[in-house]
Amino acid sequence: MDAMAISRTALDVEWQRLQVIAQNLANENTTNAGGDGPYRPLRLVSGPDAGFEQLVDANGVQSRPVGVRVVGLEPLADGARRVHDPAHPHADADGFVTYPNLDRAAEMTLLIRTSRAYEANLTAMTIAQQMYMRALDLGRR
Amino acid sequence: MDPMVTFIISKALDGLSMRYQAIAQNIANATSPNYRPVRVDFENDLRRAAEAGPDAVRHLALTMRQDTGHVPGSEIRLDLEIAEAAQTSMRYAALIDMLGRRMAINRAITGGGQ
Repeated sequence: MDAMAISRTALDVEWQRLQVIAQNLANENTTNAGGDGPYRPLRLVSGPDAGFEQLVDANGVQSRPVGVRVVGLEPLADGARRVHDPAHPHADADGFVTYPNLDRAAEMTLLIRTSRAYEANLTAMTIAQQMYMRALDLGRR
Repeated sequence: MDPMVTFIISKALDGLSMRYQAIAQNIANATSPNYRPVRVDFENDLRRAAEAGPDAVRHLALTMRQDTGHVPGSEIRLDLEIAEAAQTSMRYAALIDMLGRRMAINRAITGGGQ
């Protein structure tokens, strides 16, 4: 897999991570997600597309990196936030409403890190493109 | 003209291209937990092969290896990887330029200088 394809897989993964963060922030006050309790904040888990050992050929010299992939979407074990609001339609028998316990600072930190990672991959892709363009210039003079 | 230079430049271009793939892989996995970065070092091997002769240069196998100096669990430094990427790209461009000049000389020779 060439460098641009590798960077492309990462752009895809970081973009999806951004979407999950946006989803978490958007559902900060969702008390009833699909009828079974409050919204559960999610975390996108990613990793290298295949183990390094698998990439090594039988002769043990050649190896090909194949980028990154989404491993899964895991709910965060943050618990719930209970607020006393008897007038709320989703209040329980004791008058408490259950909200997702979203760690807003953690989401924002991850948002910035993800955005930086996305930018870095975009830069890597641009540099790879420049290299290819130079190679195409070979023999043109 | 000595074909050795062309062999060396071609192999170095392959090496730099592979190094760039390794850098792209490292940047792509900057957010992967417990990722070990990969590196490509070929300069010393290429220098030794160049002393041994053209066949040694042509059959030199390029390898990608895991970075043994990386502390497990520590973050990938994006800035250093991007700097490495820029340097690799510059070297690649310089070698392409040299190869282009050699081809221009060969063209001048075959054209009889006309």
